[in-house]
Amino acid sequence: MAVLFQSWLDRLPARLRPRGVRYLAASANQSAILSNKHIFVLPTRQGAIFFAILVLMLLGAMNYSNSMAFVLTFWLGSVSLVSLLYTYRNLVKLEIKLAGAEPCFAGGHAIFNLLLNNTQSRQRFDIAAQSVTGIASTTSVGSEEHTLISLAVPAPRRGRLRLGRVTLSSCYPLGLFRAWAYVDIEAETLVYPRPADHAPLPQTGQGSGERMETTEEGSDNFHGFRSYQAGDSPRHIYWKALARGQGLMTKQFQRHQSPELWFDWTDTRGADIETRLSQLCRWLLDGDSQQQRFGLRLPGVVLAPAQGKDQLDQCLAQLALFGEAE
Amino acid sequence: MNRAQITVLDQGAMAWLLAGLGLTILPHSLNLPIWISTLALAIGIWRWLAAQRNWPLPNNKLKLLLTIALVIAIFANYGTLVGRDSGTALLVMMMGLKLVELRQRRDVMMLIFLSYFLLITHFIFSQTIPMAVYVMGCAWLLLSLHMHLTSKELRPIKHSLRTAGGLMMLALPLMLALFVLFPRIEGPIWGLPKDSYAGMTGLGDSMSPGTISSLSQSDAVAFRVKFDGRVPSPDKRYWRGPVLWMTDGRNWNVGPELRPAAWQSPISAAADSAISYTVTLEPHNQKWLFALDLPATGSEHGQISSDFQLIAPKEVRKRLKYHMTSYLDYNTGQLTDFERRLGLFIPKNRNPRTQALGRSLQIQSRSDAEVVQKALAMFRQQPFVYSLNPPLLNSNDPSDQFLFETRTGFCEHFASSFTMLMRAAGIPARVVTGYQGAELNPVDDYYIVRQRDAHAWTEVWLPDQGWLRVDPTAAVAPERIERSIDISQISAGAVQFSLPHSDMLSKAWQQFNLNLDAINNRWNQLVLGYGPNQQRDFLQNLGLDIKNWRKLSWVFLILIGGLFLIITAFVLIPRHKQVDPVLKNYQRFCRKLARRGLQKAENETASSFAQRVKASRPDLSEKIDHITQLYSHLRYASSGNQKQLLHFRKQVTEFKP
Repeated sequence: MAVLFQSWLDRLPARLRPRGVRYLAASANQSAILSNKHIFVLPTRQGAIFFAILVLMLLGAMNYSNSMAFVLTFWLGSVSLVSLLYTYRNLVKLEIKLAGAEPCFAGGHAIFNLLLNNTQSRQRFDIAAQSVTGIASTTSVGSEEHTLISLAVPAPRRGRLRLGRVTLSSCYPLGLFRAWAYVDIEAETLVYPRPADHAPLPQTGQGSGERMETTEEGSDNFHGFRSYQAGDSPRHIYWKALARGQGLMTKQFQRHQSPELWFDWTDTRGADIETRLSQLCRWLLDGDSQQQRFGLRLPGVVLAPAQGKDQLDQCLAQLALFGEAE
Repeated sequence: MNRAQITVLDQGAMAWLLAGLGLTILPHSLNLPIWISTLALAIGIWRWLAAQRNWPLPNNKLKLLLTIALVIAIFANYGTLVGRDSGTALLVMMMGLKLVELRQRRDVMMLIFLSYFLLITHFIFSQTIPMAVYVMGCAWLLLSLHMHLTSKELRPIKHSLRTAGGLMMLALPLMLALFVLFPRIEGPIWGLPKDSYAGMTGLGDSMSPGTISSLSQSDAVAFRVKFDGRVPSPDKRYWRGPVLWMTDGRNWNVGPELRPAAWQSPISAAADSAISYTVTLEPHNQKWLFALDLPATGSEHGQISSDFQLIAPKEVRKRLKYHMTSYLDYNTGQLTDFERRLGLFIPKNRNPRTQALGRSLQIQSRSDAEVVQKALAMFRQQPFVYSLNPPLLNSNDPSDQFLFETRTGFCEHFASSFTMLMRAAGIPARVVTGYQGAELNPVDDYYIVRQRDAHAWTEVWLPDQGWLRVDPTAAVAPERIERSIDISQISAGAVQFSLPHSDMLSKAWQQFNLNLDAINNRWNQLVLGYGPNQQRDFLQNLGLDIKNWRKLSWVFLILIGGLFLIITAFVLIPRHKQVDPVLKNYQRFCRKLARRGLQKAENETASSFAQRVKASRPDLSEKIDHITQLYSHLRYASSGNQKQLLHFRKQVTEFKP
């Protein structure tokens, strides 16, 4: 019931929303406190069934003029009313703060970390946080403690992903009422292009691109294994390990003399921008996994060749923001 | 087949759930047929094993089949599905089936909600204090389970038990206010199933040999009496019930309806023999009320009929309290022709020897009063025995058999034979059933009348006295009238009468029982008896008129709302952790320095703060070092004792920057 009401509220244009509905803002350097003005409480579907049963019990008590039946009915009714206060108390004065976000590839889930800070001595239980599109995650916060809660937000498209509105809710203790509050969190993260499934590294870079030899030809020196990471070329997966049940392992190769690779927009083939960016993304990941030095050339952007995670992140960020008006 | 069951509940939670459900159903095992209790138990055990060994749950087809079979079985057992007993059986079976199909969290919740409803049905069967305590305990357990199983996180059940207990305690005042103030109406709203009041004991509207002796084994309370002033002596404690006129020679029945409303009693009674009292009658599912012989006035609860029965407008199905006045000395005056005909009726060709004896008594005596005296003398002098296990009277002439052969009987034998004898002697007579006796409970100064005090006696009509009570049993066994029957002795056959106990233990036991009854009586009066009338009286005592519903609803809303606000404040006011005395004193020290402009930063440790302060106030360095050292020692070494703490406090107090 509460959820229905909320989805109805969410669909309303902002100016039509009831005055009482307030949204709280929070960001990385500022925590939001859920005050009484921000919290709504309504019965849940389960609560509605419970109250229907209470009404039946009351009718039974009246019909039989049964004193103890009255006592039991009124007691359960009073308990449910007090449980409303518990539900409300579970959320009120909770502090929320952004605690970092992790970028992801398009089609995956970006992770936003929220810090829930309980400044009060009462524990808080079963607090669910959910972004508009994401999956709810639930946690408890101990007395005068804080807990990190991770929100997985689906990232269907490349570019910037804003966290937007987060709903904090709780049905503790009896699930008869749901208290909730909205927090608009100023947070965004990057969504990299989805890596292309298979794209051989460019044969020649426009600049000093050296011919890339394939592993089958054995000119690379086998360096070792590491566990599989998203974007690793399937050609480098050590399938035997998988067959032995050791999970996905990626073979790593190292060259004695790392030549500089240039990944160039003009080398990519594809019908549209996204396909070409996907191909570049695949190259960047493969280049990084082979511990190459690589540079990136995009229309209007040139990143000098370098090696390592920072280089990869910078290049991926350029891909993520490609085409965005600066 | 479904193996998804494992995800719904872990084994610990399943054990708690099954225990909670078992305890909730348990008291019904006394009311339900044995096959339902056994089946419920079997389903519980099966569910437990299924959860442990991950057995598959039955599919929908099997469940449907099971449901239909159970509904048919219940119908076959009770002949109905809507009665009190069959309804309870259905509810229990529904819970069993729900337990079988426990797949989702929603099913678990539904099961708990059904259990809440099942709890209330216990009170239709019994509302005693132990039952109330038991059911409230079950409610606590169910609420805890409710809380435990709602949460997706795993917490120890102890947490849920504690929180649910806290919730119930906080809700208690609100519940009490609702109980007292929630508008009560006279039930029932839509009529009750026929079997709702099955199993109530009490006097019936007919009497045959054995009717009353079956009651005399019951220790159950029939009613309780509180006298306003004077208490009648034991031999006057006759509580009048159904008056039986009609007989076929063996069974006695109430007479035809005797216009209770229009009839004016020609009673003339000695005003100084008036007794006022209040009766609290246990429900017996019959229309008559009991009053001390002879009731003078009716009340809204019952009207007096021409034969001085007190008749309620409808069956007494809940505890009823009524105030009465009776006269011990009275004269009922003249008899109508109809009553005379009724009072002289003898079935033809039955009990010929009794009829002959009656006629000879009539001939030998000069007056009706003399006939009565002679008949009583006969009972006294001849070897009549008062017994609970009399020989069966199986002939067609039971009065003859009793008066001339067996001569061993209980009050109904004496009363019916004596009445028959009087009618044969031409004296209008009738049988009156009721109770005789009353046991004082000194704890709360009221009297208890039990089922075992059930009695039958005769009334004869004499021209100058009107209807006169004659108790032939008293002629045979005068002790019966003085003391009540000791039911621990009746198995021997001949009736024993309880004598004042002498030894300590039985005295203590008796006292305990009296205390218990006093508590039960108060429980009945204050809690169970709280209904529309009591509510009206209570509100009137507060100066509120029940008819002024507008004002009443305001009072109701304000009181309940106010109470809820108080509870809200109690719940929402933040609780602070008990502050460590060491920390408290150190903060005092910091505040003293802050007043001198030396503020301790929040991320600063005690020692770095001390260094900073010493740099700007070298004159204080010794004291600051000492206090900081003590503080670190007391707070972090966890070996500080009370003496050191006191020293620390003194140092802080004496510190004057």
